[in-house]
Amino acid sequence: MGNNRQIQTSEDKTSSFSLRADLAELKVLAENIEKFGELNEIPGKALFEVNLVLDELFTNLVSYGCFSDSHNFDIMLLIEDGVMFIEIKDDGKPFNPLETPEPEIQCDCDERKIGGLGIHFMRKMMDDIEYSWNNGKNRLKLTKNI
Amino acid sequence: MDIKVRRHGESVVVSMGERIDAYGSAELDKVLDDLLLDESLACMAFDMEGVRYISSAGIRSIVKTLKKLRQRKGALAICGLQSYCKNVLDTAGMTRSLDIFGSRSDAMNFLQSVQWERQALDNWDNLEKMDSPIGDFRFIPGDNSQTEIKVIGSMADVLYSRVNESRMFSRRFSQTEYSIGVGGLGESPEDYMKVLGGMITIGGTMGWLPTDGHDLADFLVPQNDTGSVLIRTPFNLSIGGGFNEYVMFNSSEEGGTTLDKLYKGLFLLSRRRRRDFKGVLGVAAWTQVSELMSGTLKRSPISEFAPENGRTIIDPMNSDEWWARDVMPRHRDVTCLTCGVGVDLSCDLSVFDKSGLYAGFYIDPTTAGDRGQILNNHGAVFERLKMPEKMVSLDKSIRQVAAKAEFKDMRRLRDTTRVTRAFMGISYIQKLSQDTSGWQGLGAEAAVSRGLADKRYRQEAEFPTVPKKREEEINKFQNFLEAQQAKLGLKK
Repeated sequence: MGNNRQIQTSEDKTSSFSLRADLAELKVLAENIEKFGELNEIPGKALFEVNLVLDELFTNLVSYGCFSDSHNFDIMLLIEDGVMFIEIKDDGKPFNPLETPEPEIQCDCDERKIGGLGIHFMRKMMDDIEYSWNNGKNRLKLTKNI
Repeated sequence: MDIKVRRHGESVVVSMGERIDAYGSAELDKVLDDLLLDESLACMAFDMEGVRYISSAGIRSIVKTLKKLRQRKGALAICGLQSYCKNVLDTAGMTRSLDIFGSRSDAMNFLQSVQWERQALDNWDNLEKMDSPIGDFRFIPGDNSQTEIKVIGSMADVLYSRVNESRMFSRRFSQTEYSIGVGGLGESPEDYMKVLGGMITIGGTMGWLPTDGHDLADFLVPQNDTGSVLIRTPFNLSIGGGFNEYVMFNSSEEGGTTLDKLYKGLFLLSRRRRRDFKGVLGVAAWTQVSELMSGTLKRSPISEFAPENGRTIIDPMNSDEWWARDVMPRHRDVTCLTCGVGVDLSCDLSVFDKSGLYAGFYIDPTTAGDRGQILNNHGAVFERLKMPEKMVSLDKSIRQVAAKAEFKDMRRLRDTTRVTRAFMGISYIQKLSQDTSGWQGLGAEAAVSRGLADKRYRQEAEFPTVPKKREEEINKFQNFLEAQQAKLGLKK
């Protein structure tokens, strides 16, 4: 999908930035998404969900996916006709989030294991998810109807 | 992140700042870990009014804290939750198992009741205890409030099968209600009038047994519904004003104790122990039933179905057609949520409003006899659930049963039903009121300013046989009461 797309829209419609593998960068992520949302008048709820999903993916990478301290997490945001496209590339361990099992969310808090909740949010809050591994990088494409 | 910690009695309130992501939650965890080093801390509130963002890392902090506090038999209350954050908790499937409150004061009230419960449990061995030939009773203090039984409609309308649309009452379901009666659910009279049956509302749930011939009970937990469920009833008794005392009963009899004997024991103890006992008890309970015997209404008591011989539906001539009375246990070893009322006929019942008594109770010749008491108990029946040894909070336990246990049935319980254990909320009833406020429908409108009985009486005056019948009923009831008094008086 993204491969043959020509980006001809104005600068506001896209945003690209990179995060270092450090949880302090979550603030940078939030700021960038907020700015992008403001420029494109994206409703608060959708913006919140995009932020949440990217946060979870990024936190996963930082917590489990790193070989060293020098990884990068590249994010590209694009909005077109009320649909938001998000592309994430990272050079951490290969990790296909679509292969993780659904967490059990119906049981009591007391018994619950919390792992996998971030991936569960992604499945619930995004409209389309594609994963690929090439050139030594995880590449995740998310689609969200605004 | 901005984190504030404040002490409220034995509870701690933690107010937190804007973003609880992986970064923020690490800061929060440090504060929480420090607080939880104090082993005596068991109740905590998270004030999340200032939180605009939460991720799974924040949820992890909540669950970690919750687990620790529950291990200490305490609780975590969450308040001030903003809508996006609530959505995240919803999506995570968490909202049902968390104690979430709108305001901080609601959260503090909840934590206070948890603290009270902890203390009562700690103090269990020092609670007042009575041994009796049927088993032991342990008493846990309850509310000091005035309790009453609210009588909606009239028992007589049911017994004479003369219910019609103008005698129906409707009300929205209320979460905290304990009531029994005859009723049904449905949008329009066509849906429910012909299938009215036994009904119970208890701890946020409602069970009823439609008289549609299938003999299958319905069970409803309205908090999962739209909240627009209307209960329809021509006759309903509800316990108002809370429970004055909680009683844990463990039967020592082989095979359990009959309801008849259990109430006899309660009456005896009440006469001895409670100055506020006037002869009427309201009882809601988690009951472990060894043998459940039911008396099931088979037909809707509407005027269209009224017996042609003009006698009541409990008259020996009609009784078999109208009632299925179990002689063998219908269920064995089940857990029941029961709600009921009992009248001790050896007490001076003249303190109660006569028309209230008349509207609320009747003497079933096949069960009342010379026993000196009138009982009316309904039970929602569940697959047996293990009952804790010690219990102090009825509302909470009842919610747990309704949420966890498998619903099987709903029945009116015969007095021969046997009980092995029961945790009961007892209301020492101070008055019987015919207060229809909160109810809607033609029945309620008919009683705008005066007592329902009065108004009915005047309406009925147009039909000469009805007041006569009514008169007879009252006299019969009166005579029975007097005879009973005399008999019991003589025995003394």
